[in-house]
Amino acid sequence: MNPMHFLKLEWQKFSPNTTFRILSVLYVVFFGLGVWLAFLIGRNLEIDNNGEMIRPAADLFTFPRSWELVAYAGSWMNMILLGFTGVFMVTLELSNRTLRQNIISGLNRWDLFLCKFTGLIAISALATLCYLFFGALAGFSESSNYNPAAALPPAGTVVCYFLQCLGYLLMGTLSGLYIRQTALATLAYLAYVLFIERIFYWILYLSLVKSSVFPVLADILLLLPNKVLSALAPFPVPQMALQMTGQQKIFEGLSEAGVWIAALAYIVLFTFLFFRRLRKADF
Amino acid sequence: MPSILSVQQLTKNYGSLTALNGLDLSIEAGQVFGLLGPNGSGKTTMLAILLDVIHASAGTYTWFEGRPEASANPRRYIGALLETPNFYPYLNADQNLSIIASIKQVKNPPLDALLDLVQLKERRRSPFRTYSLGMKQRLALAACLVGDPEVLILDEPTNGLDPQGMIEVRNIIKKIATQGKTIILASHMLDEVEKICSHVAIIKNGKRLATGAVGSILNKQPTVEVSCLPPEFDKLRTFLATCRLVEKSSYENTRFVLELKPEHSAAELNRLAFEQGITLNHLVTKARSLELEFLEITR
Repeated sequence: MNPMHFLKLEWQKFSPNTTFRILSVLYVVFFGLGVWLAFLIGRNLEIDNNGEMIRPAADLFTFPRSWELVAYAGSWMNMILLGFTGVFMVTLELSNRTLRQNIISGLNRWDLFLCKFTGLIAISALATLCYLFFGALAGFSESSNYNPAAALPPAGTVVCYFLQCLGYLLMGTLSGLYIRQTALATLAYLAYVLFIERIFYWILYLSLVKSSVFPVLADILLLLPNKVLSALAPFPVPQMALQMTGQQKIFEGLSEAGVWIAALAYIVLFTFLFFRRLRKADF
Repeated sequence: MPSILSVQQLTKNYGSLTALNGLDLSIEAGQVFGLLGPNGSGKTTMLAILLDVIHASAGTYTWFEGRPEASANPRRYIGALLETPNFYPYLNADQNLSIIASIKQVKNPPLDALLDLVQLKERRRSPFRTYSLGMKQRLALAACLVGDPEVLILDEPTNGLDPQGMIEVRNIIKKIATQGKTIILASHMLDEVEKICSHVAIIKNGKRLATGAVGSILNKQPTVEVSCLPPEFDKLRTFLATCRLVEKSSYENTRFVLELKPEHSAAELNRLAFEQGITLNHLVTKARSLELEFLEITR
């Protein structure tokens, strides 16, 4: 079977599903709303820089910086909605025992993995297209007198967005595959990305502040999965403000290359765990 | 006959529980093969392993020996209904069957004919979740036939059905069996196996107790009850102990219950007894109950 065949199969399974359709619509609607709200609020944002009021967001809404803000708005959709989509795509099949039926009907374990993985790649690609649409829409509506070349999205930002989508989808999928029940797997996934990792990070961070190995360990903490995936589309305002005030960084953090490597490593790890589980599980 | 399936020493352990215990089996093309055993005997576990749904703890199996193309991905050549029908509840019959056809890489599957065969044409556009159990079971049978597979595996296909549903499903299976397909039918229902199967394997506690043609395993030789007047009783006992017609004998309620060797009849026995000077005052031929036979083997 070729990738298009796998894709067609996943499309046949999920395109008529109401929950899947609602999730798709919610992604687009909330993404659009998020961008609109960010632009509405951000335009008037001012920061006090030693008595001088600066508007860090002034050019955040025009090309090419607008791409970063739109990516950040989309990153929340990716974390919540795409993660849940990943959970749902597996638990729906587990609860109806259709993965089992797919194997009985003739898919081998490797085909089954390729089928699901191709589906996740396709969803990531569609989400990235959605990002490009809103990025272009926002940029064109706010920018005037821009250099046409600047309107093009930076390749790195687009690839990062795609990797973030894939990363969250894989995280959700793994959660569904190991926990097997939609409600529990969703709860576990959301609890991890929204609370557990953040609490864990800050508890360790604060307990390490006075340690002599603090700088090294603090950087290692940035390698937690959600931190890495979030860093693929970071909040752009602080970085802009820092550049305007002549500073380089407030927080120690991973370099851009570090984020890329860590994100790719997580995606490879999640993919491996996903395949391993599908290969070894009794359905 | 070419071998369709050959199983060697198949074992499955769930912790300390052994569901299958070194099971051997061989099925040839064209056989309608029954897997007979009480609930929990390991029939479904074995079929699930053969369909790659669960992994064996030990042992091997080979599908379609001598046919590399088919044995590389045997399930494309097999239609299977394992336990309950599993379909996407929000999809209708057409959509669910199309998914199976996509997996089996069947272009233009004859959905009309399949749905006609299982009498679901009228409800083909209804979501699967709205089907009754009998309709679900019938759709599963249609799904088994997508791609015109060489082998059908049917695990308790009449489970949970009402008598009407059972008859409908059995008729469909019989119809399919006439097409010369190899059918593997797992059931704990003896009459079902007897009516449909040509060969049978009896499984209990994960072990194979017997295998062969239905006639040779499930003895169809009737039992014969004989008795005589008390003065001739000892004579009859001695006669039966040495009679060449008698396979087995037991004594129950003043009567001897006999199992005759194949191709011998109660009339022959009566004639021989008479020649020995014994007049039987009770001679009744009883069809041997299948349940009794099964219980005897699995005892």
